[in-house]
Amino acid sequence: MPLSLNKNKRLILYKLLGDLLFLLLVFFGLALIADGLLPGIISSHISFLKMIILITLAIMVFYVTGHMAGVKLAEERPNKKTTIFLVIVAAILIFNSLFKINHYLAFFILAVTLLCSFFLYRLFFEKIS
Amino acid sequence: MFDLTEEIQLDPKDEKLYRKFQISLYLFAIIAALYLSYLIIFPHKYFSFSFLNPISNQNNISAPHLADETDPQNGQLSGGNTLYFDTDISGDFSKALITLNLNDSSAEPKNSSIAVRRSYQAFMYNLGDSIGWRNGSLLKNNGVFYIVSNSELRKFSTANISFLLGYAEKNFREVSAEELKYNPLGADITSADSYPDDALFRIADNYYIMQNQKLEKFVSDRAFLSKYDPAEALTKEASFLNDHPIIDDRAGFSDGSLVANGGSVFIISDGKILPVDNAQTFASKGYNWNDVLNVGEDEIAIYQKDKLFSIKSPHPNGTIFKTPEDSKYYIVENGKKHLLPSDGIAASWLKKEPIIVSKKALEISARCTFKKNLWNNTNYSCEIPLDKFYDLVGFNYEFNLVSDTAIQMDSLSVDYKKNVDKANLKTFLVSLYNSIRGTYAPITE
Repeated sequence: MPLSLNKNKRLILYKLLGDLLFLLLVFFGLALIADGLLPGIISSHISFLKMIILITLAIMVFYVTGHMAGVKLAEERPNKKTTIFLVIVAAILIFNSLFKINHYLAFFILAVTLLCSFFLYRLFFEKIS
Repeated sequence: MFDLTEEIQLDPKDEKLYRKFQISLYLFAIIAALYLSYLIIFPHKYFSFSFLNPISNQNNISAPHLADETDPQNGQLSGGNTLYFDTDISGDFSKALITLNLNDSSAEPKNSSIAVRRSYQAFMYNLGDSIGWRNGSLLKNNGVFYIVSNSELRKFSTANISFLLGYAEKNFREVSAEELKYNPLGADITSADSYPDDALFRIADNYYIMQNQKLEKFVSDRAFLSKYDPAEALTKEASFLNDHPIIDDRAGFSDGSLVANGGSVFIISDGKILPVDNAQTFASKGYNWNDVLNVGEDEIAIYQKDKLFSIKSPHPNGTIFKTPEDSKYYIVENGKKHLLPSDGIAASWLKKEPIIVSKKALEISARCTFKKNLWNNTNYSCEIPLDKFYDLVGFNYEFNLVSDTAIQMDSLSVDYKKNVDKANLKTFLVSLYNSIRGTYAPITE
């Protein structure tokens, strides 16, 4: 990735914010999975809303700091492996949330949800040739 | 080394600085994760009340009050007076840290202490007068027949009058003279021309109760059976309805009944239904799922829906407690608990399982004396170990605070904590296992 950078404190801050954002996302992901599997185990102690606000703020500060430090990001296609992993995790969490209802109905709702998500993704992100 | 932004190259000096900060950040994250795990495994619960803002929705201590049920004005507690307050919390905690935040102008408290006991809030109510037989009960003693009507014991002046009214001797329950003392005596029934109030009838597969010479129909058989036995109702022909008008109101379920409709469970009391907020509240209040009656919409339509019944709510009127130590029964009515003085009287009120409560809970208490906190001159606190309450049922902690000198409080708080030990770790693991079972194990009837 071609970058022309000044060796200054802003870059250090930018890199640290990247680490912070990574930690927050890992924590948020694990909390989401834990609370999905056992409702209330995390959310009874920490509000998910506060977590989302914190992550949003971290993203904004990360972006602004990067801009101020002159960091230019190359456009990158979504990683296929990461996408498949996230889709599987999302599917497990959706199915888990529907665990109490009839399993065939749960699979049907899951399939419809994934299809809707796929078409929404195509609608918003696919380039028109 | 781990670097998420390896495209950004720093000079060696800055790289060294970045790595120091990065290690600190990850160490901080690990400590934060450990702290969160500690909070999850050994949770604490914080309750507080601000006398500066007594109507704040942040106050989660039930309204503190003085012995005469009045509120302490501006948090003032005169010397020798007692302040009462409650907190409701499910689960066992190791200790409670109670903190008083005094007003700057308050005198220093001397010999201020606080005591706590644990049970159900309604069971800690003061004891009122004993209550006698339920309305409609048919009783006999030494060949004399009685009916309980409008809470009064009304004697049939002769056995023949009761037989003329249609009652058979087998309808009457033999009771002792002692058991008849708890209902005030009403006028004798001297005529077979009319039925007393609260006489019960079964007419064409429906149950009715007499009220002012008019019949009030029970909303369902289930409603009747929540109060009475079928044998207590006189069977009459449909023509009986021609002589006695039916009023529009419907007689409902016994106070304290548990009913379910549309996936919600309600407690019936005082003509209202209280929706139970969750299964944890239901279990922590000592209710039994087997006592829940599945009812139709029409059966609960006669009731007005009241506020949610939460863990903070005391058991409503009509609740019956049983103390296994001495097999005594108590019924909750209007902020008091009343003894049901015999098993027979209790049986007339009880058509479902009573709520089991420990009598010794009223005698077990723990106390601590407030000491000034080192870091704040107006803060006084003390800690009460709660292990002696572990075996008791009920999760209401009732505190009473006394001070030899008059004090003025800005706020008070109670922080329940769990000790970091094997027993509490085991409790957490068991609750985790139960939670997993509750979520994923198939429901078995």
